[in-house]
Amino acid sequence: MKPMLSMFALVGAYLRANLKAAFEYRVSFASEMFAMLVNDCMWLGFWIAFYERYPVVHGWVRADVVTLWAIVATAFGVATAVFGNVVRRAGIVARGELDVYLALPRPVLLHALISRMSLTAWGDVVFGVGVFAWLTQPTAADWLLFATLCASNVGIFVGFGALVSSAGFWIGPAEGLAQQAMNILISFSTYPTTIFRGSVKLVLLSVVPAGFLGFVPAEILRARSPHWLIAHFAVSLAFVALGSLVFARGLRRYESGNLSVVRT
Amino acid sequence: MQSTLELRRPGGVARTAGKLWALMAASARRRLGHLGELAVRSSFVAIMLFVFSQLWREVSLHVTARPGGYSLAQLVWYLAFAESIVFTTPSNQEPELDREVRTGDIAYRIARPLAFPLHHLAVSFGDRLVRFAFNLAFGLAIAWLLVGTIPLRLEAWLAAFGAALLAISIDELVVLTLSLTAFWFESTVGFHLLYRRAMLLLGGALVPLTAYPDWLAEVCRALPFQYYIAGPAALFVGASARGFGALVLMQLTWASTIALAAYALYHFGLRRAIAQGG
Repeated sequence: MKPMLSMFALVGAYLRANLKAAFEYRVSFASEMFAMLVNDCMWLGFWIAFYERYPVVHGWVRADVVTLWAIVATAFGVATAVFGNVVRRAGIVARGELDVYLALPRPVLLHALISRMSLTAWGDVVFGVGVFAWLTQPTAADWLLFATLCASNVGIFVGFGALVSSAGFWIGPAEGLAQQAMNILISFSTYPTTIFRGSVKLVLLSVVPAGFLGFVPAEILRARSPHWLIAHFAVSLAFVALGSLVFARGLRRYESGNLSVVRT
Repeated sequence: MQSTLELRRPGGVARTAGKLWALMAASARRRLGHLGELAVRSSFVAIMLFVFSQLWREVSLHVTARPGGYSLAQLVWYLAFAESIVFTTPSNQEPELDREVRTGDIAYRIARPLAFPLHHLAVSFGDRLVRFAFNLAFGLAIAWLLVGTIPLRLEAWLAAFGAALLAISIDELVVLTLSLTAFWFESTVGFHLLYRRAMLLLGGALVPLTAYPDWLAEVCRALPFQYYIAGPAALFVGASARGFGALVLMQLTWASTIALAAYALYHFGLRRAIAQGG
């Protein structure tokens, strides 16, 4: 229990430090956050207009599209605000910049992930929470479920990110590959999985867990399915475990870049 | 003294054009040296195309009317061309030019015998030409695999390629203009993000403008983003090159306006530049 609390304390301390650093450049912080908020609103407006003109998914109404976007945006926002290096870690590995974390008495993966915060991430969080509150009129139970699903989604994002970024241990410069994999995950997560068929649908609910990030949570909120909720937790835990395991295996192959670096 | 002056003088239009060409070619060669990265990035075009083909296939099952007047095959080929233009943009949120302005590296750049913005335009254009070729090869191959061929006419293809190259040039000018605001702002990431999103959603990169709801199509037609993507892509799948002249005229008008804005920003921005240390 104590190590767990210590880890939470570390995450909290980094979050506070990163926020303080962001507030040192508050105009920049505010402008990036606002830009992401507007960006997300544009996406949502586009898809609402699209689905209203072309009702592709039977039974889906505007609130479902909003819920899907709200959950994906909030979870991605929290994931990249707290674990800001989740997308950049492949480059850190490739450049041999992990040394600074290896020398410290904390879990290397966690430490490397939390040492940076994405400024635009807060725009995603504000957007997700805001549109969920404003456009779906949620009850207290909806909020509880929304928060739980977002937390579970953060596990999927971070676990998947850790997994693909670890490719750098084997193939070297894997930043482009990891970025592309994350882009694919995010892109697919904002579509209702029912538009896909056969093996593609299977892939989106397993190897690339995009269906679990957007469509499944939206369906859980709509239909209150306990089976899907349990499956969601299981997938989240599985990706966190897999990401940690592959990172640990990869770390054995790590070669230092012999660089003087600061934690970024 | 004389040699210093010669070093800093651009050397006339012909010599400047020669330098720009050399920079473009070097940049294109450098990009060709990273074939793996090119292939990975172009594969994203293929994935986007696959997703949209699935989406439009579902639409065609539920909607009897042709979306925007396009058949499913035409839509997929339209998207292949449109995404090929969109995915020529670099993946980093903050272009190199912004970083140089913010960090003071501009001090080294402006001493070179070529205007700093022109240097960036040439390097970036060479890079994007190679990306465009790769994206198009991937995109068209996937479109062919997904929906087969559509009737294509040579004059429409040539017109579309010409318009696409102009579109990429205009996009470069806009990115340059936004980057030059780094003389005044701490970060330009937000500007670039919003510009890219507006181009994607209002420029017809995901859906032809004619397939939008009427009110949204009207908004898009009033904005210049249509000249980047929707214009060239519509020519590509069109029955002829009709409309090419009007499109190019609007593209050139827009390019001139942006170039003037970029020139003004650079002119006034340089006065604010402060370089410290070495």
